[in-house]
Amino acid sequence: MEDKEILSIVDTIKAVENEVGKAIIGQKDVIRQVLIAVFTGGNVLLEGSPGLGKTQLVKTLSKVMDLSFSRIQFTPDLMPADVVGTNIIMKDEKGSSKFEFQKGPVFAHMVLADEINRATPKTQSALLEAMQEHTVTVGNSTYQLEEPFMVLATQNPLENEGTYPLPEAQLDRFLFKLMVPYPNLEELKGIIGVTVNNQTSVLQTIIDRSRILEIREILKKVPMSKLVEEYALRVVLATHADYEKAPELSRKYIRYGASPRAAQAIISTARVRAVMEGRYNVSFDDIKYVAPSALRHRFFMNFDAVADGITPEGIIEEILTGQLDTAKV
Amino acid sequence: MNLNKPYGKISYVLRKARNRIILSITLRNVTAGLCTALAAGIILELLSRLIPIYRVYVLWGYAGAGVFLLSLLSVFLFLPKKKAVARLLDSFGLQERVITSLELEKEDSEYKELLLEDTVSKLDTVDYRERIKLLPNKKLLAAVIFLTLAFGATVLLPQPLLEEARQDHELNTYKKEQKKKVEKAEKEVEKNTGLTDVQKKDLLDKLEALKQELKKSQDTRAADKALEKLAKKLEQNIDKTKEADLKNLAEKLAGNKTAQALAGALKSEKTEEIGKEFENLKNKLKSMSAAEKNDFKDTLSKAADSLGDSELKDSLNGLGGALNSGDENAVNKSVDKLNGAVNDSLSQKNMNNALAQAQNDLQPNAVNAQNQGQNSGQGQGAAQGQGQGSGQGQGSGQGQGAGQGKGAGGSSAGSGTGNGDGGVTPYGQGGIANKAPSAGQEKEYEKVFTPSRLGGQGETSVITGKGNNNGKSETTITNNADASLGELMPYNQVVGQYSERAMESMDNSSIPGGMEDIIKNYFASLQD
Repeated sequence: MEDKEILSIVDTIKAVENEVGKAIIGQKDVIRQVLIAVFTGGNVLLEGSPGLGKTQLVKTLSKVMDLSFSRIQFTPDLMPADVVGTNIIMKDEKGSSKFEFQKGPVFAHMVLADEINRATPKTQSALLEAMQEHTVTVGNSTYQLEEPFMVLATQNPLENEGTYPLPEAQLDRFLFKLMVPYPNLEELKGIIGVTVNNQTSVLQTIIDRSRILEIREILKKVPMSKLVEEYALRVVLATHADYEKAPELSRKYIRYGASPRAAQAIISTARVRAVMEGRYNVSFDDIKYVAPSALRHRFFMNFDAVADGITPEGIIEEILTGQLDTAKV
Repeated sequence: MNLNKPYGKISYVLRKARNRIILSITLRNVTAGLCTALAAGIILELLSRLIPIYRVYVLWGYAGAGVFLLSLLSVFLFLPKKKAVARLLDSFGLQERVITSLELEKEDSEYKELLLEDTVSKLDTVDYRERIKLLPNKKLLAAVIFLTLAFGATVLLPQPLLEEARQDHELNTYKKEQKKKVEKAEKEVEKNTGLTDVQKKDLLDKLEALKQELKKSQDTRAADKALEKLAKKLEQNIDKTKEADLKNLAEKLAGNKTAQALAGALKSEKTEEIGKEFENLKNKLKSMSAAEKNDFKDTLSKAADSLGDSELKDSLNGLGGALNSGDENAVNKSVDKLNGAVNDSLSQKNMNNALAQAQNDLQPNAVNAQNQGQNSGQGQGAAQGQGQGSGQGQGSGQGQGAGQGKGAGGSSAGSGTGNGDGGVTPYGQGGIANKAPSAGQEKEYEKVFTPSRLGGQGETSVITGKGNNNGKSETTITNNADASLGELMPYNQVVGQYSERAMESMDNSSIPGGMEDIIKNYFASLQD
C-alpha cells in the first residue's frame, strides 16, 4: 500500500463528511461518529427525540456512499418475518407451486430500524443474527447479507409506555450508541431553510461499497502505541466494580461492566477516528472521543445510580480521567 | 546521527529534551532538598529546646548535607527513560506520535513512513524549551524563603539545655569507652586457655553485670565506681598464697636429689610435665633406700613448714606419713593427692593472672578527672597504690593531682597526676584513692578525724601491772603517744589512707585469710 493511497482515504472520508453535512444541518458529531461506525463496520443505536433528522441522516449516508437503504418502522405488531423476509408459495413457469424466499427489508446495505424498542423482543431478536453475523437464517436456509451491512436503529427516550427495552445481548451488538442532540438556533434555522423553504441541495455520491470495504481494511492497520492500547483496555476494565483501579463511581453504581466487545469497539473505532483527524497513529484523545459512545450502552447501572441521578456519561468521564497516566516532568 | 533521517531527528530532539528534563528535575529536587533540610533544621532547633541535643548545628549540618545529597542522588536514580521523554513530548500536543514512532522503529507498518514524516514535522512546531522550564518551582522557592526566615528565628531562641546536652554526650562517650574496656576484658577471658569453664563463666558473669551497671550509670562518677568496684572484687579473688607456695615448694624440692626433676617441672608450670614427674616419683619411691627416704621425708617436712596453703601442706605431710608407713598404695595415693593439690595451685595461678589482666583492663581512665578538672578548674586528687611483687601505680588526667604506687616484697613505684584513680597492680593490691570532690559536685560526706595519727609511733608504752591481793592493777600510759585528734575531714578524702594502712598492717601481721577478706570488703564498701 502506498502512502498516496492512505492520504486519499483521509481525503475521501473528509469528502463524505462534508457531503453529508450539506443535507444534515448541525449534528456534526453524530455524523462523524456514524461515519466512524460505517468505516469500522458496526451498527449504531441512535437515541433522540423525533424529528432530529435521524432518518434523513441514514438516507443521506446511503446516497453519498451509494448504498441501498431500507427503513423498518418497528411497532408492537411487527413480526420477525416482516424484517428478515419469509418463504412464500410461488408458481413457476410450469404452473407448479414451490416455496420461494421473499427477502425482507433487512436485505439492504443500510437498514434503519426506526423506534426499535417498540417491537416485541421476538422481532428485535430477529435482527441479532443480521447485526452480528451479517447473515439471515429462514427455515433451513442461511442468506448472506451483502457488505457493507449495517443497522442504524433509533430509540425515542421520551415515550417509555408500550416499549420493550432492548436486551443486553442486543445492545452489546451495537458498536455505538449515539445521543442525537437537539439543534441550536443556528442549526434550527438551517433545518428550516432546507426543509420548509425548500432550499434543496444536490448530493453527490462520493464513494461506493467496494471502496468502503477497502478503506475498512486499510484503517484496521493504523498503528496504536501499547500505552494507548493499555489505556483503552483499562477504561473498559474500570467499568467493572471489582476492578482494583475502578473509580468510586464504578464501584458504587455499576451492576454489570462492559463486555470485551467494548474494548474491540473502542480500539477499532479509535483507529478510524485518528485517520479522520489526519493522524497516522491513535492517541489518547481518540480513545476519549469514542469511549462514551462505545461504552454508554454496554454497562448497566444499579438502582442507586438512578436514585442519585448518576448518568453513564458521568461515570465514563470519571473513568477516562482516572485511568490516564499523565506524563509529568 | 543523521538528522535528515526521521529517527535521527526524533532521537536528537528526545536527547535534548531529556537533558533539559534532567536539569529541571535537578533544580526541583535541590530546592525540595533545601526545603527539607531547613525544615529538619527548624525541628532540630526546636527539639533542642525541649530535649538535650548535643551539637545541634553539627547534627543539622549532617542531616542537611544528607538530604541535599539524597536530592541530588535521586535525580540520577530516576533518570527519565527515552519512552518517558517521548510521552512527555507527546503531551505537548504531539498526540502520541513520538511514542508510536519509537514503537514502530523495529516493526513494519504501512503507516510507518507517513507517521514518521508527520511526527518530525510536528516536532518542529513544539517548543519543548518553553514547556520544560529551567526555573525552580515557585511554591518551593517561597517555601525555601519562609523556612530560611523561620530557621533564623529559631536560632535566636535561648538554649537552656545546651550544657545538659554536652554533659550527656560526654557521659555517653565515657560509657562507650568503658564498655569497650569490659568487652576487651571479656575477649581476653574467653581466649585464656588456662582457665576452667567455671572460672571463665564466673568472670564473664561479673563482666556482664558490670556492663549492665555501666549502662545504668547516670554520670561518669557512677561509671567509674562500677569499674572500681569490680576491679576490687577481682582483686579480692586473687589468692597469692597458692602461687607463692608453689614457688616455695619448687625451691625446697630442688634441694633434694630425688625430687629435683619434679622441682624443675614445677618451675616450668606445665601440668603435663608435672603429672609425668609425679608418676616418676612414684617409681623412684619404690626403689628408694631408707636413707634416701628419710632425706626425702625431711625435705617434704621442711617444704610443708614453709607453705601457707593448708591443702598443699596436708598433702606433703600426708606423703611423709605414707613413706613412714611403708605402704606402697598409701604412698601412691599421697603422691596423687599432692599432684592434685599442685594442679589446684596452678589453676589458681592462672585465675590470678586472668583476674589481674581483667583488673588492669578495667581501670577507669582519666576522663572523670578531666571532667572534674574542667568543671571546677581546680580539681585535686591523690592516688595511692600498694602492691606486692610488681606493684604499679597509675594516675593521669588534667587538673592537679598525684598518684603513688608502692610495692612491697618487690620493687615498684609509680607516680603521675590524676584525680582519684588508685594504682592497680597486676599482682598486688590496688590502692584506694582519696577523692576530692570537684566544685561541681556538692555531695556531702560524713566527716571523720584526719588520719594524722595513723602510723604515729610515739614512744613505746610501758604498762606495768602490779598484782595485789585485791586483784587491782595499776596502769601507766605513756604521754608520748600522739593523742591529738586532728581536724575533721570528709571521710572520702581520707578513706584511702585508712585503707592503705589497713592493707599494710595485714601484710605485716599474721591474721586468718577469712579475716583479710572481711577487712578488704569493708574498705571496698566504704568506697561505694
